Amino acid sequence: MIQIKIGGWAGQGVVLSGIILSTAFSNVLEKNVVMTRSYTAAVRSGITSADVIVDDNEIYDLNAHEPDVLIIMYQKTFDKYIGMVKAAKYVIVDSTLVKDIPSDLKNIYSVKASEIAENISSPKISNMVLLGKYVAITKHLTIDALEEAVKLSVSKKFIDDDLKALRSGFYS
Amino acid sequence: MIGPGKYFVEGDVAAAYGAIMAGCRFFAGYPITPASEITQAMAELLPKYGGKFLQMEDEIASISAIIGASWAGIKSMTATSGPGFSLMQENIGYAAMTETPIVIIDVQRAGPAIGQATRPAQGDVMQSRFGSHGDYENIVLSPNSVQEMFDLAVKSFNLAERFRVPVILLSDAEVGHMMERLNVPEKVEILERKRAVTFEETTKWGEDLIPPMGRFGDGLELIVTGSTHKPDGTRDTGEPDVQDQLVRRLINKIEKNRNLIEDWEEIDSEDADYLIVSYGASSRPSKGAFMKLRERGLKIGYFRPRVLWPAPEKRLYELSERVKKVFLTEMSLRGYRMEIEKIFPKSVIHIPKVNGKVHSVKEVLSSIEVSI
Amino acid sequence: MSGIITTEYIREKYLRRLPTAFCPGCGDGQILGALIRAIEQLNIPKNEIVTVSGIGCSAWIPSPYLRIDSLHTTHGRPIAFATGVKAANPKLKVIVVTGDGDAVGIGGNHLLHAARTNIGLTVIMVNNAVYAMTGGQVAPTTPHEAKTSTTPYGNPAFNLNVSEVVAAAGASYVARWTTWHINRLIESIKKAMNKKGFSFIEVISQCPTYGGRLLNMDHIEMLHYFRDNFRENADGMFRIGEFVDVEKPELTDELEKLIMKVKS
Repeated sequence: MIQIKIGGWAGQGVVLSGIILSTAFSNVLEKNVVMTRSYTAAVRSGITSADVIVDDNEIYDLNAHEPDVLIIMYQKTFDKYIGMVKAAKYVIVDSTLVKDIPSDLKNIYSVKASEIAENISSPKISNMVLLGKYVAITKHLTIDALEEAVKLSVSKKFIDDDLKALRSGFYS
Repeated sequence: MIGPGKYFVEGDVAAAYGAIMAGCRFFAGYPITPASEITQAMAELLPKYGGKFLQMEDEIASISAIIGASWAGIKSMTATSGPGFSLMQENIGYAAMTETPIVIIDVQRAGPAIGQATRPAQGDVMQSRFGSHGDYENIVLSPNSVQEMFDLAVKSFNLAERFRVPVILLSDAEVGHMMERLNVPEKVEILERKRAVTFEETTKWGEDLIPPMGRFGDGLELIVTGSTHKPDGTRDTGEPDVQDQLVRRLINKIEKNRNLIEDWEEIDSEDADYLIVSYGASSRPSKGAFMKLRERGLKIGYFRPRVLWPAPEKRLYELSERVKKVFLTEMSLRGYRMEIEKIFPKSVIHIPKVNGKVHSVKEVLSSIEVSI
Repeated sequence: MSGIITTEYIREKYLRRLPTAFCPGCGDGQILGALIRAIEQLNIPKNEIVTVSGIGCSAWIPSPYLRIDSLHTTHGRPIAFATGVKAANPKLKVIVVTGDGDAVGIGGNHLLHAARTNIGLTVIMVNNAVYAMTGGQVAPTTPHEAKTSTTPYGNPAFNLNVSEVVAAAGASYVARWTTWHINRLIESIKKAMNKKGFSFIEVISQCPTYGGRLLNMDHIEMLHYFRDNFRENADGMFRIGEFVDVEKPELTDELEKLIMKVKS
């Protein structure tokens, strides 16, 4: 079983990241996948998270209570999940926005996701950079599987930039 | 169009797919979190199938419209959550009284009142059965996966048509918003209502107590009323026998057919000293806990009603002969508790979770461990 | 159709039974008669009509007396039920018979939105300015300072000019008559039933039981009051006649067009 938690601020593409990861595990790798989300009713405020649970067997836990992987896009989210951050195997962090990280943590993998994304087209695709980084670090998926999932999940006009961001994260 | 195959979708969307496959061709609804995705999916899908979608001015109008459409001969549905479900209660009773097949999806959120719009709960279990005034029976189903949102949506229509009752698909924000794999089959089994060809036929029933239903526009000169009425539909609010016979039949057509309606999942209960009872989203971690405890050699069973009302009472009473303790896990302090405690007096350990989150396997396990 | 239309013929064809349960002198019987005559004169087959009503005395005009499909619904909701019937089968002529309490008290929201969407219903609203079935309580249509059983010292609030509101909300046809103007009411119902979009007819009617008791008038005096005070060139509530008569796109037509567009 793999538990992944993606945490950010509403509007950062947290849920879409969850959908892309889930699609890669479910449609491409034929795994059992559950994706759940937590958000507040407001469209542009509040901590948002997406949990992706991957298993070869039936899935019982619907939320990532003890995530193996955290993908963190915002400082407040990092602070909120600090307990999980310490226990996780891999923590992928957008270091453009998450700057206050305790130096004793050895499981942090930083990438200036928002900065890289902005150089491509817009900081809105920072989630793609982080997904690329996630694949490079964990090797849970191949970059090809993830690219296929992006193609299945996002609208045509964003695909080129999204894939560019994905690869930038992967090779960073 | 919804072709057969694998999808990775939300529970809400799966329910819309199921409704379409079951033959639903009219939907009237009002936006509400966490059920709006059903409404949106129906708005997108229905025209492709020649069906009609209407966004109404409120939930009262929504349920009114689907009852009207059902009498015009079209399978109809609405979807909502707690606040809207409360507004629909009067006309749920009206649908029961007029024996109108309709499907209502309630994607439960944490209440009371506005509560937590985006968070799951299971506090509408009793309301789904007793929410409207007076004596009536309806059917309530509880899905625990995206696949079951589809499967039980189909089943909801079949039960509504077969028994001429409002059927409630009682989901929750977790299952409604969760994404999982959905397998859409080539074909689903579909039941159609018994249609009356003459007025006379609408006034009579057989052993199942369900009269064939007329349709507006067929020239039957139907009289449909929410007032107490004789078998031919004419209002008679003074004669005691008319009320007595009507209400008893409305109850008995479910009561006497409950073996055709009750549905549950049951594992390892034959030798069980302990039993976990759960439904909807909370049944997922409950099953995980059950698997762990069985692995450890504990004689524990797992019981999940897919139909909450009518409850699988006969089977539960049988199990109550040997089971020493029942663990009821649900996202409510009240939920299904009265029903389970009725069958297992004094042996129920209630494991509620009411913070807008689903239990974890670990939480269920530790709650059970301290009680055995 | 042949020969002379006799009262017996009308009764046999359209009524399940008589007498009705209406109080002696009630306007509801006149309105039932007007509705039947309009249908007969239009020569519409009965199986192409569905009547829908809510709760209140007016609800009993179609149900159970009319030998036509009838849906007698919950209080305030007949327009919403009728919307579903019409959307499901647009070929049906759907007639809603409602009262002032039903249509603009508890059910005002549905009336506004049905007018706005211009769905092809014909709504006949009986306005007797009072909640009659429940014992003569104040209604949204009760005039200022009028005494009712819940305004024993006079109505502190003001009445709604329903036809003006429905006109403003976008209906295709709006007219107001009184039970004194029966022949014009029949012509108006015929026009409304042939209208593509949402049509609304307000009928000012006498409640000899509660209205009469409070106004100290019998039904004949009330009809004379209608005759003497309601005119096409009068102002406010006393204005009768057609308020709106236009052609514009109707909701179920638009839904059919949408289906054709999506399918192609």
